[in-house]
Amino acid sequence: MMDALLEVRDLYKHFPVTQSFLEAVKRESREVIHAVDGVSFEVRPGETLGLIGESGSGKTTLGWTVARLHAPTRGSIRLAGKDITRLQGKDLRAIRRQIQVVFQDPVGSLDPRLRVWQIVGEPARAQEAISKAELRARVAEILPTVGLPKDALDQYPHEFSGGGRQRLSLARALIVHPKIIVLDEPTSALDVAVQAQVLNRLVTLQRELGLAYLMITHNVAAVRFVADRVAVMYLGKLAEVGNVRDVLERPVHPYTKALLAALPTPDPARRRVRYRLTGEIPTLIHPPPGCRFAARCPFVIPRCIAEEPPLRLIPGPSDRLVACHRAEEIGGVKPEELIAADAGAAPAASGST
Amino acid sequence: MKSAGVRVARTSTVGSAVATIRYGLHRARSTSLNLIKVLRANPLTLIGFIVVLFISVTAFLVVVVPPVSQALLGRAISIAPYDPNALLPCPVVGNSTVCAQPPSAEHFFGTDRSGRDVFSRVLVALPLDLAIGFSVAGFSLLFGGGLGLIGGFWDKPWTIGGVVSLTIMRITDVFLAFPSLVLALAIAATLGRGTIPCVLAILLTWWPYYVRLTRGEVLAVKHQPYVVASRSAGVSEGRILFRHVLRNILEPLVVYFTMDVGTVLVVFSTISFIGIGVPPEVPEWGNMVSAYGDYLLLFPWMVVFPGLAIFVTVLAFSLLGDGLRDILDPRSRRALTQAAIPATSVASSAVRSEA
Amino acid sequence: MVDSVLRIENLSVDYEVGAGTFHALRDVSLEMTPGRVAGIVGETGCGKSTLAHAIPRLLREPPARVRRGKVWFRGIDVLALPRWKLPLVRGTGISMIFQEPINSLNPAYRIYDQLVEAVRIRKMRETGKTPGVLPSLEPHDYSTGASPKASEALTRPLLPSPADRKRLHLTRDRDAHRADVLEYLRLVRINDPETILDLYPHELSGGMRQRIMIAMALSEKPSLLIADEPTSALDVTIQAQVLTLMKELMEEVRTSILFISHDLGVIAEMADDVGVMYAGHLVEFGPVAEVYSRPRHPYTKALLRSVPRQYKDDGPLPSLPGSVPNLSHLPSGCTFHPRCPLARPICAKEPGPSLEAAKGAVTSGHQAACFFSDEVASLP
Repeated sequence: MMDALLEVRDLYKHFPVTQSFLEAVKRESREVIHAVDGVSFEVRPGETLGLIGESGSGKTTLGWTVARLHAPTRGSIRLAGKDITRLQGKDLRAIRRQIQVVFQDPVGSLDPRLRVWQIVGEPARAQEAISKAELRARVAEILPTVGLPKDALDQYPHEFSGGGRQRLSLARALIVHPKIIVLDEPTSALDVAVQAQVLNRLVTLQRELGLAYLMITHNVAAVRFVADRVAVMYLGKLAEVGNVRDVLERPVHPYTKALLAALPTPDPARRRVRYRLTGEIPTLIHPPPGCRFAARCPFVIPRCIAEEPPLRLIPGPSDRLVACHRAEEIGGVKPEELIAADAGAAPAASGST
Repeated sequence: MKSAGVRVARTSTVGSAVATIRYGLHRARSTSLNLIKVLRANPLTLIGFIVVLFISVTAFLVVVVPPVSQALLGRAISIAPYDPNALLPCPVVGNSTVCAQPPSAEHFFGTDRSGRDVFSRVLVALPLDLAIGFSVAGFSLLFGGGLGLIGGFWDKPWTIGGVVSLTIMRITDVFLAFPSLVLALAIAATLGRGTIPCVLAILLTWWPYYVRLTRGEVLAVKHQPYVVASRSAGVSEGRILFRHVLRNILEPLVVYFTMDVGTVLVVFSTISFIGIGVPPEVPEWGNMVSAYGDYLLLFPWMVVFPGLAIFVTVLAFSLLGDGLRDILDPRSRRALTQAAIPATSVASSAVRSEA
Repeated sequence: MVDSVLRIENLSVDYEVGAGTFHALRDVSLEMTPGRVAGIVGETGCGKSTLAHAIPRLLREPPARVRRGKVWFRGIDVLALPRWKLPLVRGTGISMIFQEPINSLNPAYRIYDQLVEAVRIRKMRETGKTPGVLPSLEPHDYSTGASPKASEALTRPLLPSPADRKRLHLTRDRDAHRADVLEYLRLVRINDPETILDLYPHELSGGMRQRIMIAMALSEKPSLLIADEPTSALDVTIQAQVLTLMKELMEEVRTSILFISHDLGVIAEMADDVGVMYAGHLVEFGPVAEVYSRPRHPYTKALLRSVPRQYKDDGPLPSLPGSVPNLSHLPSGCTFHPRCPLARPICAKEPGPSLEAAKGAVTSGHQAACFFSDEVASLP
């Protein structure tokens, strides 16, 4: 078994909620947002782990913490065997050669005042002393691999479309030949047609360069295509981890089922259905003692409210980790059953000609 | 451009110098093309640009021509038709000697009550006023801007940087609490009359505005995704400061600076007008307006022309500063117009992912 | 003959900005049948948002310019109305909800005060002192819906007696409208509405805000509700809840909805008829089941195919080459021809057959602006 490239153990990331001056004087204990609350997983070389969840799930915080853009509150991160949890300064900058990030916002993540060769070349310059001419050459070499023309070197980011800018971000991440790239919502700002192009490109690059991806997104269709394994997060904890085909076709955790049931599919035959999951997504300042999904879960039992379910291995055709007390019982329930079929409305005129 | 010069370890110095120059020329060319485009589109900016250019060239000539001509030709030639301080013979009209002459062919702006040529005085005052405007604004930009940079960039609470930043900002607040004119007057009155004390007074009240401005800009840029992206690329904090932060805040600062030159000028003239500041005989626009303010109705030319000079200069700088934003950054125009178009932004659905 | 609630004829809108003229809409023609949901789907920049804003004349006239075309709302030519009559058509006639509810709600007012505005307007219209709507425009009959609950909430007079009416003008009491506001909140399925009355918009979640927007939009019983990407900014599970709510309300009040979205799935769930837009042009229109299963325009087909539905091992995603054209430099003829697999020489010269004011497709079927629409079925 190959050694994991990225190993995350019991990772916690808490953000303090700002106190008012009065509260500080009274020495009231600070409240924290439990953005990531005890997450463990690994990513193997050359594979893609998709991290899906909604807002408040902590997936973006997890991605950033793993890439050491935040300092972890607790826990450990190992990259290619090396512990990077507490690195600072020059040591931290050195590991950037191995792990890079492509950010969500294609407009904001590129400095509008710099040209393409400066932006894309920046990580390389930060790692080694390199002349301007050589930098330009390296950038010119890497641009075609993301589908951009070589002569884009002197252009500005605003001259590119959303898809083009996303490719620039990707090129910037690739220029130091990292082993793993954290993709933070790579498709959110793109149209469906452009998404397809970018996703194809990601897969091709992965095959050619042996890259690993940690892909953070709420776009389940994108994850289906790019990921080998997928992890579902809810309120700072992992709900389910497994092989992408298994998890998306036979979800076990009730939240995964709810999430998949909520996805609108371009299939008009699935219309006139009522989605049954109620409730809002809370923010996590005071985590409940039991399962975090208990308040909204259709399968809840008293044990769920009292006791937090650990992420455990569920026997089956492939390795599946699920954090649910009733995993074995409810595993077979299909997501569609969380949707009530419409009872009495007149069917739409089925324009059959 | 400076990045091209900084990190050149391996190639020859000459080669990199050539590359730098070529890059610099390319940048200059694109900026000037932009300049022409903006000037053509904005008649007001064009006016401002031309007037500022004219004023600057004139000031330059007034200062430079006498010593250069002295050195080259052996005698000093001055741009001004008359010596600004010379008391010219006053013509006698009837029984009285009337020194104050209205504008004429010999004296474009007329003469004042002592017989001095107003045009020459206005002209000679130009470099003085301009220099004061630039130096006060410039020094404030450097000093105040530097403080603002520190105050904005290293401001995490409960760190050394945070404490320093806090101190800087609170001191700045103290200075900001005073109306600048009043404070300047108070300081000038204490220090006594004279150009230098006056300039010092204004300076002391001027730099805080730059601190505030710079800090605000730095804070805005600091949290931009591209700064985070650079950090994730392994760029050190210092480089981030110089490469990304400085570059992106420069533009609003330059615009503000340009317009500020005019403002300093007004304040300086006001202080001179009130009577503190430049000694009465030194030609300075505010001085001149003050000295002959009472004669506005009798001999208007002695007051109107210096006043007009102030007005035109300040207006020109303001117009230029306004248009400077467009010259330096062509994208800002597109951004302004795009805002008017309702478009469902696919990007905003990306805002969903917060935690 | 049922009067169509909305009929657009050859609408063309340009944006004149310093960099050039952007042809945001070109010859868009469309007709909606009352009581149905018409969806408009397309990528960014296709003009769907411009279309949505053009109908109630919410476009900023410079830089936008309506070059040509007519918009008939229940027989009224909206574009020809004098500006002062527009408020009479908006609200009660045409109502709109937008993508980001946080932007549509005034951040300085509590929820109660936001809704009070809607309630007050309704009450004032009942007093007859303010003209509710253009005299030629009768309010939409909301009692035809399947469930009386919602329509009752929206139609019953809030001020049944003259004494009530008088009191409306005299009272400055904030709480006078409390009961009615609570009723609106319950209408959009907000449980325990009392708890949110005193909150500010930023203290609520996105889903709640959008429900409040829906309540405000329906409060005036509009005949036409335009929804511009109402759920795009919401999380997946919340989006499902809000769409369910909208579907239920639609059944209850039977208003016509023009639903705009870039998400093919959302349109499939919500719309009865769908129009596909590309670079300012309406390229296909028809019943949603038809258009999705048997598209007649190559762009529609390509769009449907590029939604990822496969795994990595199944091969690359089908993707459309090239990118959306710059709206100021449109290709000649059919704007899609540079990327179209069916392109022939004629496509570069002629723009393709125009959709006749495509009536609600039950009467005129399914149309596409392509000369070769019969060949689309054979594309992969």
